[in-house]
Amino acid sequence: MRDREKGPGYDQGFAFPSPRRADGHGVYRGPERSPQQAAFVEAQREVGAVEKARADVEAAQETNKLDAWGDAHGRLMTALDKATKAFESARAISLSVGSEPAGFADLKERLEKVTEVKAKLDIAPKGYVEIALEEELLAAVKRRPDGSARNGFARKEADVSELMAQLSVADGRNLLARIERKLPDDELVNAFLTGSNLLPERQERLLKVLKGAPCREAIRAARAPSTARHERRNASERPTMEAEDAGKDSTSERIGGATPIAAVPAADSERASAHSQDDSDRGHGAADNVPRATHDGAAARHHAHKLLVPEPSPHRTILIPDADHPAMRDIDGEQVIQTSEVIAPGKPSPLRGKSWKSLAEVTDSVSLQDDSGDTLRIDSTYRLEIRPAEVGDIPDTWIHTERKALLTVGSGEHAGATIVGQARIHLAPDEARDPKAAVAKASTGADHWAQIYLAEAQQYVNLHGAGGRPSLVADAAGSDVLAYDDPLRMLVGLKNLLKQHHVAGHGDDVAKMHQRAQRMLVAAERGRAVLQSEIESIASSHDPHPGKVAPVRLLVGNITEWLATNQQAGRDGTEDARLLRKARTELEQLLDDLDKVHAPRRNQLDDALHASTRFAERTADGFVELGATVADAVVLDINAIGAATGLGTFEYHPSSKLFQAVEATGSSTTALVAVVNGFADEWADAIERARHGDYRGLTDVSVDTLMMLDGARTVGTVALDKAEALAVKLGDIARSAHTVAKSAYEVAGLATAEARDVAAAMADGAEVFAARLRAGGMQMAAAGGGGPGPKLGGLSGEALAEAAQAAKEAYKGKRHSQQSAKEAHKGKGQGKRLSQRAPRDVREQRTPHEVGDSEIPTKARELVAEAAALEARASKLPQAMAERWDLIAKSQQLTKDAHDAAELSGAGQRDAHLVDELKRVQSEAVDLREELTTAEAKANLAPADPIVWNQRIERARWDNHGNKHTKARTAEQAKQFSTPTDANPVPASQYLPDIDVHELEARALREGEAYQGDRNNPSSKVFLWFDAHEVIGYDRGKAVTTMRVELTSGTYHGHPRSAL
Amino acid sequence: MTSDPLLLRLRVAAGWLIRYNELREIDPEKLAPGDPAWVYMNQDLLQVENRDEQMLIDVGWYPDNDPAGTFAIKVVVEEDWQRPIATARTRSLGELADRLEMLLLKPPQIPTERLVERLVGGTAESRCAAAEALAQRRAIEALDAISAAMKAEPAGGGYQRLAEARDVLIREHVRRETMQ
Repeated sequence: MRDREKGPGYDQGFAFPSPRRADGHGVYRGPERSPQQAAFVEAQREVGAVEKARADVEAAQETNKLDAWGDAHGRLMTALDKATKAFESARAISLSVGSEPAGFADLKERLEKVTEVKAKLDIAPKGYVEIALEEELLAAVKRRPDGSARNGFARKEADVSELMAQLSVADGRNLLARIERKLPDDELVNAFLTGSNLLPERQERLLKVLKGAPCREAIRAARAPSTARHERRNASERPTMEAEDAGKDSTSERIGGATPIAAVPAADSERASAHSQDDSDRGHGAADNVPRATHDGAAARHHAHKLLVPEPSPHRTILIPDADHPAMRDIDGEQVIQTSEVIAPGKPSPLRGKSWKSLAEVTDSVSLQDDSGDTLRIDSTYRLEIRPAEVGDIPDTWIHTERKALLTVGSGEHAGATIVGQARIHLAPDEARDPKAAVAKASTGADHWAQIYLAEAQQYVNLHGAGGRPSLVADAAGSDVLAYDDPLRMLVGLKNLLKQHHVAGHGDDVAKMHQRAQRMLVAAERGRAVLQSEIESIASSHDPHPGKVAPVRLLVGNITEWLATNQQAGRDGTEDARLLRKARTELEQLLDDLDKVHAPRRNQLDDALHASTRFAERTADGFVELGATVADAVVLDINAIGAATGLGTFEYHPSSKLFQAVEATGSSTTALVAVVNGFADEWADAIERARHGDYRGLTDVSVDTLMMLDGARTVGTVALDKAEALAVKLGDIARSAHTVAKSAYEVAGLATAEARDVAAAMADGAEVFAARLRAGGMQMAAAGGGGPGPKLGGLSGEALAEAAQAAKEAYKGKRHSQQSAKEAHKGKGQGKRLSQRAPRDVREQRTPHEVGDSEIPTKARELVAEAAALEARASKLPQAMAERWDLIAKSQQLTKDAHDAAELSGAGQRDAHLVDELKRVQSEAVDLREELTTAEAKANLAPADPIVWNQRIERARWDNHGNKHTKARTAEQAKQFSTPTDANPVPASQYLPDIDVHELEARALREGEAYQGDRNNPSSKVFLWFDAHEVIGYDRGKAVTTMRVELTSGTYHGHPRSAL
Repeated sequence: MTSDPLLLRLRVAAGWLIRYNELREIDPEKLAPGDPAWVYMNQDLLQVENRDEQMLIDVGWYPDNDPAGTFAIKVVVEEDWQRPIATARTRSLGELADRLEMLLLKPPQIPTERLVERLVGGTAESRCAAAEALAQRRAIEALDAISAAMKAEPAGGGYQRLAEARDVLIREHVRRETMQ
């Protein structure tokens, strides 16, 4: 080249003058040339420049360097231009002189040679190296997706990925380099990077495929033992390579000795940062287990330097680790045997939470299996990272490792481990950043922790390294589970854990025990609440509920049994056992408390004397000073206390909390029902407490009752739909009160005489009240005309007031008769503290349920009414309920019997047989009532808590349900739209157009009968049935007065329905 | 307290709003006549809404609680219950679920005459959307209706959209004429 650059003229045409020739000043001035010579020399120089540029262009074309070609090509064009001009100038001079200088023809030929190939030289190189499958890849990338966009592009990505996976390592790298350079003329790269061909996320995934080419190559080599053997044989024939790699295959040597572990380790992938990649390329660190075979020399190390290759020995000989290996025997002394079965490599999971700057990161994965069928899979990540300095300003370098291992023992149990290690290390500036090598490097503060999850037991076991050892490897060396680069040891360590916790081989039993423990813990939580509630209830003088407590006692026994079984299984130290022991102790303590708790003894006299104070506290805040007014003065002469407190008469007082509700709602039926129900509940509670010696509530509720009943007069005429339920409830109360009074008479010392008398009077009052309510209801029903029979459909405020007055009189009469009896017994003056007024209706004292002749007609009518009420209740039970039909039949029989009795009593047959018959019917009514109550509870038809239910109603939103049931504009349309036709065989029911559906459905919600759901549970949906007693719409072409409404998820809507 | 049967699991495509759902995994074919679960079978079981299309899919059991009844699916637009655009009846819960999912995935097309009706009244947006849908369908029979709607439409964006829809249909009309 050099010679060519000089040009032939230097050798042939001219002889340079001697350098010794100089001017007078000793400075060389060059040869003296004629113009022809000068022009020829100039032309020679320019042609030389052309030839040099041509050589550069050709070199750039050969090396496919577009930039270099551009530069050289530019110079070539310039040089050609200059050379042509110089040559023409030289030729013109030669023509004028008449002779050509020697070498002119050669010069012309040289110039023409370049000119001839100029067209070739003008072809720019692509700038990249084409790869195998270039055209196929281009076609796949540019192909328009078929079918839906999503599926089409997914298919395209899969196709491109498949093609990329077929590329060799070199081609993969070339393509990656091309994609990085993004040359404008690189069609494949441009197509690949065009978003309309492949979205950026697909590009990212495909780039990962390309980057995985070395890994795939390595795996291919690993899965082709014959090739590997062949290559290894070749390698053995290359002593230099053998020597180079011998010291690096440390893993194999350690595990298996001369013939290393047979089954292991197939590492499947690597993911290294640029640094670690470069380091690996230089042969640092993780170059062990290199498949010496796949490629020659450095290329093999370069592409698959971390591959763990299964031993290609043709024999499946099992070699036991040497005697010092910790994995020689496991905890039971079982010999650990390896097989040569290869487990397919998986994909290691990268280190989570990269909160620190990563210097280099390597991941790998190992799977192995022993011939017990135990398999272990380990995904490891090693990362060098920069963290803020703990001392000073220079950031620290840390080695951070995370290994995830999953052991599945042959018997089916699992142990999953997460092992994290970290230590601060020092890396010299020129030191390789090899994360895998760094674990063995001297470090500061080496620390490991591991969390092992025993899947069947759902139990965690924590492990820690020794701490503070000089390197991570040293820190972990003491633990089979934590130790690095020894998967077999980890397998044994984890298996030992399973055995130590008695999980291995007992997975099913352990899982069942754990599930049972969890159930018992939940039950214990409920049991604790039950016991606490029970203790509180008994302490406040309520009935004990042994039926509620019995399951808790049983639970304690079950826990004890579980703990014993668990202990026998050797798992006494588990978290389940600890929690259950704690729960059992708590339950036993509560049961002990429950056995000891009892209602506090009451001073009946004090309680009675303080009734007025409590009354004042309940009705008018601040009126606590009431003087020495006694309780009976309150109940017998209600106005006396009014005078004492300055409140005046107690016909009605707005401070009464009961009537605050009435006032707030404008004396509506709903409020009154709520008040009456509230009073009834209060009364029932008071009676229950009275059974346990606490008569305060009984006295209090008497006062409230009379107050409330008096006040009822002021609400005017109201419809009381709940009268029937109230009457039933009051009937129950009366019965309870009678029982209390009777037991108080029978058990001496259970209560004071005053309290017993109060209970007896309450019973009479309640009984009369209930009877009057029913009587009033019957009259109202009869006045309304029609209907299936006497029932309590509506009740006027007047009837309620009359019933209240009657109850009050009955109560007072009873109390006066009691007082008179006492006075007669004790002599004059003994009863002065009671009312001075004579009783209006002094009845003779008799035992409860005794029916006098004069009361037979009334009792018979009451029975008729009650039987009808019971029948109505039975009919409202869900149709699907098995007990429903039996209860309806019973109630119908009861109604018939009650009617018979009423007829007989009306006919004047008032003999002992009639009384017995009445008692029998009464008894059946009581039984039926209890059965019905049970059935209603079973059907979730528990009475609504007025507060909860009212809140739910207030918060509920109405939904028109797409106006599905409100499309009719006329009544005729409503009928027509709801009538099945051929065109519309399943029409929706329709409301009448003049119905305010929103209002009607809200009313149905308030006043309807719930037939499904728990109104007291805010999350329960409730279905209600409502009869508006007027036509509201059409269902299947028939006019209906009834409807169904439901409250679901805070929204309510309904539709007309002909039947429930 | 007994718990309610599970709600029927359905794959609901994007764009649908569940207005109401009491459709439970109760197979009426396997239900004895006296089974308590009949209480759940009534006219209002499921209602889903597509507000963009003003479309409702309604599922109910007719007659209420009747073991001899049937599931009915009704697809209605603009709450026109008397003219559902699609209906189906079945007693099979599985078939009901399949049909429902198909409807949710690929709702039935609103009939052209219903789109034409939308050109009158309603909001400007609904009129324009109807016109554009008609143009997309190349429903040249709606040309007169769109022209009429344009006359009633005040100048502005709505008018422009109607005009564009009309132009599409005119071109389609000319194309068909030419082909004949």
